[in-house]
Amino acid sequence: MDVLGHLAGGFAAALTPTNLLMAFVGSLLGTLVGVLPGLGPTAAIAILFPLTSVLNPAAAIIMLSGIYYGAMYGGSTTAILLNIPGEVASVPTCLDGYPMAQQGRGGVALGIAAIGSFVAGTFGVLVLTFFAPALADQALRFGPPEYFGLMLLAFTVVVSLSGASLARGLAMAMAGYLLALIGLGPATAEPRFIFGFQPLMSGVDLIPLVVGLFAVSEVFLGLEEARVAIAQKIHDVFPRWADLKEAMPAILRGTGIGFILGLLPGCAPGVTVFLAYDAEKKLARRPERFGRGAIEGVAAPESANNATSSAGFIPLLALGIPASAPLALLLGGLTVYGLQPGPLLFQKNPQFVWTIIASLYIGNVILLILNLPLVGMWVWLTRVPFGILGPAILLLSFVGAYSVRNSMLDVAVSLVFGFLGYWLRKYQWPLAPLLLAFILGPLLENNLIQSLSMSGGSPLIFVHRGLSLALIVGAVVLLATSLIIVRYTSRRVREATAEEMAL
Amino acid sequence: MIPFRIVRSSVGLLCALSLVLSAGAARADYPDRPIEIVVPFVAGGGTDLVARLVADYMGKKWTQPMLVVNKPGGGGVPGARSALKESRPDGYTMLIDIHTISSMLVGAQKTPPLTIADRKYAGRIVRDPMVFAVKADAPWKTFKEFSEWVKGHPAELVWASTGPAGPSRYTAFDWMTQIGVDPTKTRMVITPGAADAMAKLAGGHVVLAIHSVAEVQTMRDAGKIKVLAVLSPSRLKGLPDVPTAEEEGVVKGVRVQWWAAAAFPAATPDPIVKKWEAALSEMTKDPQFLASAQRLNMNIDYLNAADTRAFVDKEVAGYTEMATAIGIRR
Amino acid sequence: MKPAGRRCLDGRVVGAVLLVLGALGIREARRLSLLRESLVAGAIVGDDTFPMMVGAALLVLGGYLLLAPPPPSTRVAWPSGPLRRRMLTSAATLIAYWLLVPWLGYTAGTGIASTALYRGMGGYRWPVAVLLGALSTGILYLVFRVWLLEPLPIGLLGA
Repeated sequence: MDVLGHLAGGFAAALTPTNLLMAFVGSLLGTLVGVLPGLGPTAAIAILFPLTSVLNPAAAIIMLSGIYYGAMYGGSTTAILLNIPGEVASVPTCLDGYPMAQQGRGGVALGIAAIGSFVAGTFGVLVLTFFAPALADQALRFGPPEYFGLMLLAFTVVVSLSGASLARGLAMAMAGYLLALIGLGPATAEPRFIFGFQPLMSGVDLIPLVVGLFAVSEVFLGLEEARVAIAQKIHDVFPRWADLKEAMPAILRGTGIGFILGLLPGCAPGVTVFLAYDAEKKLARRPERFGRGAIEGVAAPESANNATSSAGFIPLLALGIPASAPLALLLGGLTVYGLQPGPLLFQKNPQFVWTIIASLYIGNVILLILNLPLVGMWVWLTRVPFGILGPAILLLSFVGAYSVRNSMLDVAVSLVFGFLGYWLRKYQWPLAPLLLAFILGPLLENNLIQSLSMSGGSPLIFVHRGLSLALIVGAVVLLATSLIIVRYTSRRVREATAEEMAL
Repeated sequence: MIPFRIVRSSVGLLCALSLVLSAGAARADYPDRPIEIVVPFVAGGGTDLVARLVADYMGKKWTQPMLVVNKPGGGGVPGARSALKESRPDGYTMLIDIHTISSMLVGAQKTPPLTIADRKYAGRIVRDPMVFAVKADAPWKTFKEFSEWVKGHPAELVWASTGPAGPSRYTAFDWMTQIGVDPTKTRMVITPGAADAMAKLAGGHVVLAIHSVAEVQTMRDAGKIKVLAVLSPSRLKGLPDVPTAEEEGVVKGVRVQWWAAAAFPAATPDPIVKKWEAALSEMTKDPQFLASAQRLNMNIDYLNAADTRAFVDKEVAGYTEMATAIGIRR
Repeated sequence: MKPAGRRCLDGRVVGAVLLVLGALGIREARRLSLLRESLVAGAIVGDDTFPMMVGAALLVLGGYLLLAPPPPSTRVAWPSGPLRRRMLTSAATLIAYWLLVPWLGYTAGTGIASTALYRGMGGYRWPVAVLLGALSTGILYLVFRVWLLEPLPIGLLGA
């Protein structure tokens, strides 16, 4: 088949020493960057432009793709070992990954995260190879009403992230939503909730918020617990066969969810990982295990994360539409080389495209190699005394938050939400709903306004379009299911604690 | 065991060092340290790419690193403010100015947060005209045909606009006024950016999208959309078979277009701005620079400092009039 | 075991805050509702819609949390003594860092703040703290300014 022939050619080009080195360097840099809170793939990919004049196109794009992938891997390491998500998409991984580390199963968590990511990434690239243009076209059929339905569906996840008290979860979600409303309104470009304070016109940015809520607060919590290092040593570095079997369905489901949603421009990993986590929780036989070290709780989001990243390449290469900020930079990178994405790219520069695709495969393998056996290397993170790690994380958070938009306001956001996050976590308020609502809020609003603009004000547009109707109905069904499961879970939890107390 | 003295002396050393460094800087030739080029939009976008091209060329010319600093958000205004009003006017902070934060802003607001007087232009670099794009398989073959249809079915015109008061809206307003259509009868779908609008257009969710040439290029090359007309005084070299809106007899005059210029805070010393003006003139003639720009579909159209200012002032008049007529001038 | 009818302090604080936020939301919504245009969303939905909905939700939830009974099993222990001092000094250091960097610039600011943090949180002796601080400042500079070419705050003294 023609495609395989091209692919073979691509591999031949991708396996040259230079390109291999680029892939390796990119993956390593990306992992490093992903590990650092506040520093995401966007910042790292920004290296591209100075290097444009030095590297040839394929080498540069290979390295950038490596950074992009690597960052996804790196974020999970700190999430599992330190309860600090390296970037937004690693937040669900903390929920079960860190408890696993505390139980001495940190190595297993890391291993499963690596394997899950590898499976998802490879699957993604396989589909990219054979179906890119066709899938991209299908993805275009998703218009504002469909996106609205999808975001509504995603919003229902808030229920299952609320933990013990639904009211508290919803309260946090609404607070997060309000935060997202700060800035310019989508329909009028009129400033909202700035109360005359000009710097707020740019709104609150996601990364400083995550850094504050999860990294800064974590440091203060750690200081309080007089954490020396992770008490449990990391025993098993490789997951056992039994663990793998337990996690595999979650990996596959996470891959599926992450990939399909990742095809849609605008559906970033930050959203799909929560959906994948939630799906696992709903399908599990004993959902009360989640949040306490359920291996599916690590496998699903990690797989979804990588699947979404891979899927993001499809609209990027086939249509020139970036699904997220780092991909937008990659697009800029392609443009700088005069390479126009689109079906014509496959025809005009086939060698380039297939080299990139081949190196995505290779990148996946390299990352697996970097992460599985070298997991032991990441263990040093836990051996570092907290007296050094704590300040280091705080400094990094400070500078990282600044570097997002070169704004001291963002740093202030990190600090304020760092202290707020500490207080809230002491009283065990759930923070994940706040984050999710913050991300989804604007998407929901934009798509509603766009949909009603398309229909001239008639809400019937949601009903006339089959897909959007299906998604909205799905959201309602999912909400009902979540509520039922939450009641069931809390009953089980109470029964379990009652049993413990009775003993 | 005298820890405090050590701290004191190291802090003292740091301060002394900083003083020496900054004092030394004031005396040398311009530029003698890195220059910040502020882009009040996200990396990878049109404005950002212009900045990076300029940074690349000037960095080589003056052997000082040019740092492109992205300060996105708030429609570009906070970033522009920080470059023009909150930085030192010593020539080491430059802004890539575009219409949305200058002429369009001043036209739409009675008391804008930034005025043209806040900037000193060194020169205009890029000019990118607007085009009218529809889906590739749309039934209309010419712009005139399309405009006739819109006159007859205004409520069916679902069109994409970047932002509620962006260039798309002004262009659309200009066009609709001239063909005699009431804009409020049409349906405007606000998108956060051009890429989003392109996706909607290709997917058939909107009928028309009005953007700059560079913004529609990708989809056009992919064969998913077609360009009916370009809003420019004459046909573009890069789009030889696309008629101008004026040719089609539909829209007279060009009042809206994308452009990018180099601007400094108003109090920046004139010699520095003049140096940049000369450098930009040279840059826009350099074949290598032009080749890079060509690869990015950037239309280089240099104007010197004085002409740029005149150009912007003329735009302000146009936008003020349009904003008042649309009813969005506040 | 805790006595019945224990006051739920955090619930009340959050509840009160949410009530205030909710009121602000409704107020903003009122202001924005005047700006709706028929051109956009047929004027059914505007920039005020979601502030209104979120504001209303916050009022309801805030009120509920203010009055609701505390959730089961939350014993919150606040730090005291030297630990509390350490935490407060660290927090104060961070705030001071934020305030002073625009004046001192990145290098001096980070140098001082990091030293203070290593001393405060890690309890290292001053010379060690200064060394660690200098190292951190240097490494961060390399990562952000040199590698990623991200400019760092300059401050009045130009560093």
